[in-house]
Amino acid sequence: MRGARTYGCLLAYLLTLALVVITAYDQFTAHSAQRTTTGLAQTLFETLTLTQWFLVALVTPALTTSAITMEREQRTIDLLIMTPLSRFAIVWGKFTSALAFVVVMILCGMPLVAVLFLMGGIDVGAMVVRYAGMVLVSAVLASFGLMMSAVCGTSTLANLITYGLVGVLYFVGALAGTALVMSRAFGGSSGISTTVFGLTTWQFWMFTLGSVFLTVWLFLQIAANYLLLDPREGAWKTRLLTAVLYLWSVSTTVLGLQNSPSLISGQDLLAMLMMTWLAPIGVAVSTGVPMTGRRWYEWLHPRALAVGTVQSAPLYLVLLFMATLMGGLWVPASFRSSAVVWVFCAGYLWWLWSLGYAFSTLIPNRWGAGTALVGAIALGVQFVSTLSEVLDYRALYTFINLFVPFAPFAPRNLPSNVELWAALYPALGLVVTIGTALIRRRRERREVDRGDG
Amino acid sequence: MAIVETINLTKKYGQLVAVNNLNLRIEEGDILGFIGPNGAGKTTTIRMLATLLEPTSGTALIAGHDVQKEPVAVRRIIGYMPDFFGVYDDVKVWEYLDFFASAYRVPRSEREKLIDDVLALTDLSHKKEDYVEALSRGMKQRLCLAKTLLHNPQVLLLDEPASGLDPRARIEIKELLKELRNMGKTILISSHILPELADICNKIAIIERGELLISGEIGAIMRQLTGSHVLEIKVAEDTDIAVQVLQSQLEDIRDVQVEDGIIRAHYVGPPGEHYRVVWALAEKRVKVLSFAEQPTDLEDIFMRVTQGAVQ
Repeated sequence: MRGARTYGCLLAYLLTLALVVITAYDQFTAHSAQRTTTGLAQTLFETLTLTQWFLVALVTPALTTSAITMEREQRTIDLLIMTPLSRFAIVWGKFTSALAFVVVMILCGMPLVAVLFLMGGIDVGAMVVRYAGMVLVSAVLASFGLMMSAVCGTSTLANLITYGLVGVLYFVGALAGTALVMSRAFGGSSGISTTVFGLTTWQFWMFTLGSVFLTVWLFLQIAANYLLLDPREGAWKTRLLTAVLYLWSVSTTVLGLQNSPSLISGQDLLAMLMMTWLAPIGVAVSTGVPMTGRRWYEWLHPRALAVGTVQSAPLYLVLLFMATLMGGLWVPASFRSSAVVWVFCAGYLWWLWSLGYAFSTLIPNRWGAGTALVGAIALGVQFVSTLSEVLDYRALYTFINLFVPFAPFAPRNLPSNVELWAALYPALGLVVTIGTALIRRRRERREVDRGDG
Repeated sequence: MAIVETINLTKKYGQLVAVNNLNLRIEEGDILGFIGPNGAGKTTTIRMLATLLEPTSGTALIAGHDVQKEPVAVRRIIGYMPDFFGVYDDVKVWEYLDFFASAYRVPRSEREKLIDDVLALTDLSHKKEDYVEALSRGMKQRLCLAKTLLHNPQVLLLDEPASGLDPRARIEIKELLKELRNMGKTILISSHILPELADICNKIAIIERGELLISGEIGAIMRQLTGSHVLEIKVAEDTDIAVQVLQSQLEDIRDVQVEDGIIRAHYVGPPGEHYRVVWALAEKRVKVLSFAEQPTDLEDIFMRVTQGAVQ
């Protein structure tokens, strides 16, 4: 806050806001049909908050993407780590300072809003909701930037990945499912009146706040883990948080389905939700540094769950899967999935894990293996869908299931083959797992030989 | 009991062995000079002791706490000063210290006095209101030492504290280290420059290519290595006679050399009995102008050790 840069940044921000308001005023007086004062105030308020939203979202990641990489680059990190502060406390401090700056940015814009208030026609509730939403979205963005800062080696890379991913995810609307949901919910001029999937306003708020809280916590925890000598040590915390976040989402869906039995036609909503969650979680937990020197059955021990390695992932996924099955019991009968769909889903997870295991055996870098797996999946999907279009051979489309669990949710005009894939996945998974295990065994033996020599 | 102890401490980076089966003991109150050329494994060892690097194998104990299993307890005992470190921008000297004091959970009421104390000790009181990044390198080094002292650590791990400093700043650091020694701290100080350690350390450990070549008290090592003292004798004339006397009549004298009129000879007899040399010379009426024992310094030891004098 001391440097001239901070003030320059705030000045630029306020000048942009002023410019936007002036332009909006000009446009309104020139073109609008009803030139009432309240109409003007409402238009200006819309423009102002939207611009603020955009600028805050633009600036927030920059506040944190270099927070930890800079410590590394300027060699201050060692001194900080040597203190009795916990890793989470260090990350938390950086997070709150970034959020404090966001609040300062919002407060700086307040005089402009205050003037609009004098003109009348602005709903106080809508304003509060907007600014609260702004802070919540910045919290997610700031924690995401911080996580990337801890994971990446350099500030440049952290910035690149954060802005790239946030840009992509924002448009996809997948940033924990909250950013877009919230901007939709709060984006309308009349505040919150939206119900999502049959939730009441109150339930929606609880869901949103809860998932923002958990998402931020998860990102910060990952950042804290990367300050440890071995990030795998903290893996159990991120796994626990991911599980809670997932269960939170499952229970919200169950709640929503209970509230509105006639909401949508798809009966496999819960299974679909599970796959959209567990596929990325599966990629994340199934790639990593495989632990060596253990027998395969040692990973069935419950304590193995706490170790962030590839081999401990199946048990974790099984637990999440069981929890989803349990959730299915509370869903109205018309929404329940058939047993074969669940078998199909379990089979896909097993297949996905075996791929993760193979990739992390071939690529020793955790992030390299994860990225390669995601890339392979994306390419495969692209390839199969293009091929089936070009050849105009619809039956080919079923092979898309090799990469994404699409069969139960396929549109009517496409072949689904759920039963076929429910049987095929375990077989494929087994082949890949055994193949990988053989490669690993041979490699370990060779290393032992070299060690003796 | 040793306050710092490493047992077969090893660190490998892939095929490269940075530190190989290091066994080091530091007793309480020792000032250990950790000497070795660049890249010998000094920093790697210190970082492992400072819980910042995981050993590949072996253990290190600090006051009985395992650095891998109880890093938090270890961090409370040690004060670590890295060889390279940065400072934060836009922060004043006292704020910098205040930040770390609060990180070390020093109560707010005690912080101001504590900061004044460490600033006085490191002779930075007059810079209290200055910005940290504006300090000279020597001052930054002292500031870092002041920061290291905030939580009153028992053991100080100082990695090249005097590197890159001008002679004056180097002397100031040295004075500071002497003061810390008098305060009863156990200090491990690494350096590739030998003379700067000679008069502060009571023990040395020499490391090369990750292997500990020798360690122990300076005097003991010297006796072990050389078993001799170098005598410097200056005579008015009759240099030849003197040399002859030394070579032929005295059993305890080896390796006599004359350089610029000064005779250097190694005395290998019982300690404290080299007065016999003077007697022998006096018997032949050699006009001895001066007779002195040349102090063996660390440089000597280092050169001997790293040349392979110790197998």
